[in-house]
Formats: sequence, C-alpha cells, structure tokens
Amino acid sequence: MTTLDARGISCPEPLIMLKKALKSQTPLTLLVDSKNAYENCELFAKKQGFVVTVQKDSDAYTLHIGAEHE
Amino acid sequence: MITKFKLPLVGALFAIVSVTLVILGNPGNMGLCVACFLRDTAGALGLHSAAAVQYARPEVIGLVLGTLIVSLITREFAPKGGSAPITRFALGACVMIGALIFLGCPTRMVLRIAGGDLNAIVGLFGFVAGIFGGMFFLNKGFSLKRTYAIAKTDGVALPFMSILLLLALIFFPVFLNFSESGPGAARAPLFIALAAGLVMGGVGFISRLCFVAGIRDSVFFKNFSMLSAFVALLVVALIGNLIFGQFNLGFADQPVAHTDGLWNFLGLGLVGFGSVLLGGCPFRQVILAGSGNSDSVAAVFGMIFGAALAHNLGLASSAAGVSDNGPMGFVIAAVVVLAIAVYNTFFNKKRRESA
Repeated sequence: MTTLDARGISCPEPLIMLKKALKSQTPLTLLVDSKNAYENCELFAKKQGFVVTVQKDSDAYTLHIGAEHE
Repeated sequence: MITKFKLPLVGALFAIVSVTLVILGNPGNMGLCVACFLRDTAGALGLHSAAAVQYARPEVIGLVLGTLIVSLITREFAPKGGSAPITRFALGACVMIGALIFLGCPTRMVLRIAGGDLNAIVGLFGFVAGIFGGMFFLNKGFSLKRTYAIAKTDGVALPFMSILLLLALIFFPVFLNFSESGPGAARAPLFIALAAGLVMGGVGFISRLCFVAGIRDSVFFKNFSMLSAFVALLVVALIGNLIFGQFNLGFADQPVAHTDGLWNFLGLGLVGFGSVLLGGCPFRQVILAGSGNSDSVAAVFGMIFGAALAHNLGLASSAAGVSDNGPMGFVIAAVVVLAIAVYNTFFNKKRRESA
C-alpha cells in the first residue's frame, strides 16, 4: 500500500500530493502533522467519495484512505 | 452547523472590525491591511524615511499576540521552521513590492472593493491571474521542502519583539517615528486598534482565514468554504460603508489608491503569485508567524524589508500614480519570484518520493 509522507510540508502541497495520488494509488496512507493539512485532506478525500479513517498520534495524523463508496 | 457558518461569520466580523477602525480614524478602506501596516511599522522603526507612512500599527502587534495567545490555549503553538527561510524572505519582499505598487494587500483589495473602489476590481483580476500562475508551478511539483521542530526561542521571537514594540509605543514613543500627516497619521485609538488586532489574530488563527486560499481552494480543490469568508467580508463591509457614508463608487478620487489599471493588475498579480508560493497571503503569514512558524516570520521580515526597499528606492506608488522607479522594481521582483518558482519546481527534485 502507498504511504505519502506529507509531514512538515506546508499548505497546499499535502493536498496536491493527495489529489494526484488518489487518481491511481488507493487505498493509501497519508501522514500529515498540521491540523490544517489534516482537515483539508480529510475533507477533500471524503468529497471525492473515499472512506477515510484517522488516527491521531502525538506528532502526526495518519489518514487511511480506502476504496471509493459505491 | 456552527462549522458551516464559521467562515462567513469570520468574514463578517472582519468587515465590522475594519469598517469600525476606519470610522475611528484609520485611513479610508484601510481598516486592516497587513501590507500597509507592516510598511507603516517599518517607517516607525526608521527603516524607511517616507514621512507620510510611519506608525507602529497596534493592529499588527495585536494580530501576532492574539494568535500567540489562542494557539497556546488550543495547544497548537508549535515552533517549527527550516523550509527555505531565505527564499521565503525574498518572496515576502517581492510580495510587498507588488502590494505597494497596487497599494494594499489582498485584505485591503476586498475592503477597497467594498468601498466602491473599482481599481481594486482590476487588482482582483491580477490577483486571480497570479494565483493561477503560482498554482501552475505547485501542480508541477514546486516545493520549499519540509519544516522541522526548532528551538522555542525561535518560535517566540516575533511575539517577543511585538511586545517590545508595544511597550515602546505606549511608554517610550520617543524611540519611534510618527507621521504628522498622510495615511500614517490617520489612526484609530491605540487600545481599540490593539484589541481589534488581538481579536482578529485569534479568530484568524482558529479559522485559518487566508485570502489566497479563498480563491485557490475554490478553483483547484472545489472547496468554497474559504471563499465564503471573502464574500461575507465584502457584503458586510459594503453595507457598513453604505450606512456610514464611506461608499464612493468609481475609479477616481479613491482613498490611498491610484487609477493606473495596468499596474493595479500587475501589482496584485505579483502578490497572488508570490503568496501562493509562500502558502498563504500576507495576513496568513502574520498569523502563522504568531503561532511559532519561523518560516513565516522570515516571510514577514521579508515584507518589512520589501516595504523599506519600496520606499527608499522609490518603487511604491502613491495616490498620484505609479512612481518612476516602480515598473523597474516590479520587473526585478517578478523575475526573482519566477526564478524561485522555476528552480524549486524543475531543478530541485530530490525529495517528494513516498516513504
């Protein structure tokens, strides 16, 4: 499974990475470390119809982005 | 429910605060303008000698400290940096040169439109064009690389300097320059301006209000929530201006503005382009700087430096129009931004691959 590491990368780059990856690499795991990036990416993936689960650790958010809803 | 209306409410609050500050003494359509106020602060510190624009604006001090306080409360204060600070300094300087050719940052662009200043609509087209230009490079892989955790002293440096500036302003004004006429002499009462900054800093931090993101996210990510803040700001400021007689529709005789359409377009175009590469508009950079991001501090220092350059070298426009040196200053700044964009997109590719 693909893992995108977007920790420390400033807005809007994580979203662009995610947007490109969602075209071909789902399911994938995305790591971000700012609340801003996490919220933007979660919203974007959900709007695209993907199932998103989030795990929050002390220094990062891990987003598991699964298959599209039917 | 509240989340859905959060951003329009923030925009409306921004408008109310801005219109009120103008009523209480700030220059026309300049309730809150980050570029103008950083420029005035640069003048207060003697970094440039344009006598008409010198005042350590309490609004900016408030933005930084309001962000600091709220980010400490929400435990989001995070000293971090290391993502090309010198490049960001240069981008900040170029953004400021663009803003001073237009006469305002994106915040003031919206406030100017709400005051009936049609020159700002020309600027808006430039701003959007600049954002498209910046997004072209971002989509091709532009990156200023990662930030890392840094020393706490780096994270609190700007808030600390802001407190020193505030103390000087209140207790030792003899250290600072104050305009006796011109925009720098038009000022709302100190503590009201400070309170306005504190509130908008805190609210700006929580909402992540960003004028570049408003357009960028709508066009490129089909996310219109940030744009809704813009629209609310515009509508509420427009209503406020109509009620209080500050609305004046047209191109000519607008407060602190000129009518040169080409340079209004190009000036804000440069602001849009540079701000997209920085990851946010000047307002957002100040907010990020207050929450511990030293890369944004570098951008803000770059803006202050750019303001000093713009006035010392005669690049800044005035109500009379674009200055003689303005076009050359613009060309140099635009080339610098373009070079940064090209290099960090096409010649700097090592990173990026997934872990």
